[in-house]
Parts: sequence; C-alpha cells; structure tokens
Amino acid sequence: MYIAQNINLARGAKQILQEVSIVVQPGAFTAVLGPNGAGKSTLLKVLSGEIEAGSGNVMLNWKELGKYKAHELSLIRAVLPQSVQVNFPFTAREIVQLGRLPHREPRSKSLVIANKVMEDTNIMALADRKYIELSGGEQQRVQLARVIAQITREHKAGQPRFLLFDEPTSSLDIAQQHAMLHIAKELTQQEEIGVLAILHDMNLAAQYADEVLFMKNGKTVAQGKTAELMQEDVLRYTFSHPVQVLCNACCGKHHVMTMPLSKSHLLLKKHPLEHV
Amino acid sequence: MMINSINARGTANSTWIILAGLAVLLAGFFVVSLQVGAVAVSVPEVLSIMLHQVGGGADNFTLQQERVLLHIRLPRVVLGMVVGAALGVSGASLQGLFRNPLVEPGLIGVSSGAALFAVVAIVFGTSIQGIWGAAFTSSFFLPVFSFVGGLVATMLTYTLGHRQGKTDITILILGGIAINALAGALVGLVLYFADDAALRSFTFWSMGDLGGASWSRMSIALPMVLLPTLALTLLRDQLNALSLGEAEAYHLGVNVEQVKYLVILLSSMAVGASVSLTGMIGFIGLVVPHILRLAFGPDHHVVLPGAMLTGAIVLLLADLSARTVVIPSELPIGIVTALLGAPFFIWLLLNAKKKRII
Repeated sequence: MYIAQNINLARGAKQILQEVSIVVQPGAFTAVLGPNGAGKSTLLKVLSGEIEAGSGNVMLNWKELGKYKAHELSLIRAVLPQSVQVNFPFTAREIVQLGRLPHREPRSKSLVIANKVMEDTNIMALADRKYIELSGGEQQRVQLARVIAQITREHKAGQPRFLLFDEPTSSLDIAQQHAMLHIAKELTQQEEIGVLAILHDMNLAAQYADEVLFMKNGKTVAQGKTAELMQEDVLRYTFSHPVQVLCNACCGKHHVMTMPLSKSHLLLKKHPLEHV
Repeated sequence: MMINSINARGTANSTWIILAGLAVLLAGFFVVSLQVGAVAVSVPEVLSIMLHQVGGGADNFTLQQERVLLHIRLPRVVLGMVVGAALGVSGASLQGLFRNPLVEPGLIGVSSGAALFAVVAIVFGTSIQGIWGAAFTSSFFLPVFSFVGGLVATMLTYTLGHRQGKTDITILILGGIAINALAGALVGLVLYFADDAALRSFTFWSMGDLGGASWSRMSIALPMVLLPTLALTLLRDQLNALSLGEAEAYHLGVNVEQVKYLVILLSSMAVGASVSLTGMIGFIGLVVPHILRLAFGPDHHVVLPGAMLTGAIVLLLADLSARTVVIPSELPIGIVTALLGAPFFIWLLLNAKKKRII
C-alpha cells in the first residue's frame, strides 16, 4: 500500500504541495484529477521517489519510501510518463526489454517476457519498428508495455506492486485511451497491482477509477470512492467551471458534462476563473 | 552479417558474435601494422621474434628487425590501440550519457584542458632551470601534467553544470564551451611567449602523434588510459536505461547521479591521459560510436565494448596510412583522422537529416 501523509513541498516561495495526503491500495485504480498547476505531477514525483517532499512522509508497503534503494523500488513500482523521447534508434522490442533491467536476468529471458507483454498489450505489430519512427500514440503504447514488463514477475507471491501514470492518455486517440485504461484496470483486478493515474478526462476517471483524488492549488480537495465523489459541487469547485453530472444509462457510471460559459456566468462573476 | 545481426538483436549470442568478429579484425590489423614500415618484418618473423622473447629458440630474423619491432613498432601499435579504444569508448559513453549522438569527449573540456597544461609545460618547462625544469619537459611528467589539466577542466565543467545537487546537461555543455574557449585563449597566450623550438613541438603535439611511443613513457600513462576505458564498458545497462531519460532511468533502478559522475570522471581520465600521450586526435570519439550504431544498433552491450575494439581498429588504420602515405616521412595522425573523420561525419549528418533522426 502507498500512503502519503501531509506532504508539503515548496519551490522557492511557491508552495506546490500543501498537506496533501493520498492512499493507493493494491488492486485498486486511483485517479488524480485537478486543473493545471494543482500539483498532480509533483505529487506523482514525490510518490515515485524522484523528488523528496519538504515535509510529511510517504510509506510504501509499510516501509518509508526514503529507506528504499533505487533498485529495490524499481522492482515494485513503475512510472509511465506523459511521453518518452529516445534519441537512439532502438526498436520497440528493445525499449520494452529495457523494462526488465531491474531483474538482472539473462537477455534471452527478458526477451521472452518482453514478447509476452507485447502480445498482451497488442503491440506485436510494432515490435521490430524503430521507436523514433512511431507516432506519439504508438510510442506511448510501447512505453506502457515497458512499464508492465518492469513489474511483471513470475511468481504471484511478493510485495504489492504499483504503476504510476502521469497523464498517460494525452497523446492517444479515443480507442487507444480506452484500450490503455482497460489494460490498467485488468492489471488491478488480475494482478492485484495498484494503479495511480493522473487523468484530464473526468469521464475516463468516472468509468475506470475505483477511487478519485481531487486536487486544487496544491491541496487535496477530497479523496474517496469514485461513485460517491463524482458530484457537481466537488467538480465545480475543483475545476472552477460549471458542470452537470448525469447518470450514464448504459454502464451505470457518472457522466460529467462541462458547460459552456453563458452570459449570466460572466455577469455574475468578474472573471470565469473566479467562478466557484 | 549485418542483416542477420539485426534480426537477432537483443540476444546475448549475437552480441558475442559481433564482438568476437571485431576482435579478430583488430588482431588482423595488429599483425599487419607490425609488419608494415621502413624495415619490413614478415608475419613468420614477427611470430619468431615474439617467441624468442618468451624463451623460444627461433632465430630466423635480424637484430635490426628485432629492435625495430620491439622498441619502435610494437610500442607504437600498442599505444595506438589503447588510445583508439579510450577515445572510442569515451565518445560512446558520453553520447549515451548526454543522450545526444553529436557529443564527443572534447565537448566537456578534457582535450583543451590537457592541451593547456601541456603547452604550459612545453613552453615554460625549458625556461625553468634545475630539477623542476627537467621534470616539466621530461617524457615522464608531460603526460601526468596534461592528464591533470584534462581532469581540472572537466571538474570545472562538471561543477558549472551542477544545480541543486543534480547535473544539468544543457548547462554542462554550455559550461564546456566556455571552458574550451578559455583554455583555447590561454593556449594562444602561452604560445605568444614560446620560442621556435617549443612552438614546433607544440604544433606536432596538437596534431596528434604516435611517433614518440616508448615503453618507458607509456609505463605510467598506459594503465591510466586502460583502466578507465575498461571500467566504462561495464556501464552498459545503466547507459541503456539512460537513453530513456534521466527520470526514467531512475525509475528503472539506476543511480543516475552516480552514473553521470562515473562516466564523466572515467572518460576524462581516459581521454586526458590519451591526449597527454599522443596529443589531440580528433573525430575517433565522435565517429566510432556512429559506425557501431549504424551497423549493429544502439544497444550499449554491443556499442561500448564494440567502440573500444573499433576505436582501436580505426586508429591502427589511421596510423597505418599516416606511416605509409608519405614514406619515408610520416603525417601527424590527427590530420589523418580528421581527413577521414570529417567527411564521414558530414555524410552522417546528411544521412541523419534525410532520415530525420536529428
């Protein structure tokens, strides 16, 4: 289990994270939602161990994050960034194979696992192509396979594992967005992996996330079950924008409609961003 | 071989086949290099001289051949191989670290720092009387002195590129440019005070020269080149991870700051000591990693040891042409590597531009 408590982080005079707390359960999909500059990516970097929090503590599987060595961490958590640029002509398969690096296994073995993960994530067609020549969306799917390969293990036993996604869907088309989140969801259900994903699309969060954390101005607005928290007032406050939440008839999930700014909003408030 | 190796990429076997092939090629050029020169020594003669050295009874060679081979040609060829290996692997690992295929060892200030200290030693060494003067100009101290220069310049660049406990690559490269410019200006300033003899000796040094190779001179500097060169080839996995980016390499369990520090320190040691032995030999560090990546792909398991072997091969070839083109005289090897390397690099650029790799 990932537990962050009262995280504070300042860069210069600017307070980026203020008393942020979050819990990521293994086997659950947790989405982080919030406007730009809310501190979502910074929170993810603190959780991944990439940057240290100013104060507060992060526990991973009941051990302080700071006590882990980089190598120990890499066996139980993987991070998928928004995009990864590679300057050398590696093939997609080689990129996926790089995910096996922490396991220090023979290359013949890492090749077998890389192939298996590429089959599972449906990117075998890209395997022998140069990563640099792939489209942004294809590159992102290769990176997904890489991080899955990283936390793939042969025996079920062992510490709970976690995948951290930083806006994974930003370069994907609609079908690919759903495909990626579907794979992530399956990992939580079948492999007991805990997923934390920063998402921009509230509806994707509503459809896939078990839990949501809303952030604004470096502070937690709320964390809880998606079904309970997808409420108009929470969303309206978080994003400073009028929304309507409908009940989606086909799958029983919430559906969020963002509303155009009308004249009455502009008249009531001096500036649309101040609308709360 | 190329097509096969691409299909089989990523397996340990193909890596060993490629490296073994390069090693055989190197051994071939090594033997050829020993044969060719003003005094002809055939392969059987080379072998029997070697055999004789380890106590064998062969004696189908002349004393002159033995002397030339053991005291002139062999040290020269060994020096060429070691320096070529150092330049090749330093270039490859720095390109891997900076994630930029256009980086070469000169960029972080090693070469110019070493050159500055060397020119100071050459120019002012002769004017200092007594023990210190003799020490400065001795073949023993010049390598050590310019090695220190290379290290100082690299450390300055590295410190400049440090921000909040992390190395910022962009600032590091800009710092390298500044340090290079400063060292270049200081070299010019020192040369202004130089006499003709010192000027001539510096000119030769700055164009690269394997001619001065001797066992006594190499006894200290050779390990200083060879150890960091071999150590760099161990960083294959780390540099593979770094090609994804620094944060991504950290997520894969790599201690990124440690790797950065190691690559910069080891390559500046290897290059600094090389420069001190042979002067400035350009383009090997830039071009050799490209040859390998074009032929066998970017995997550092192949590129790093491969760059070591290929660097040695390329420098042996360059030395072979430097020695034979204008017989009985010889060209400075730095001119040969630049003459071959610069057009090759332009071709690389055009190719990369067409394929939109850069």
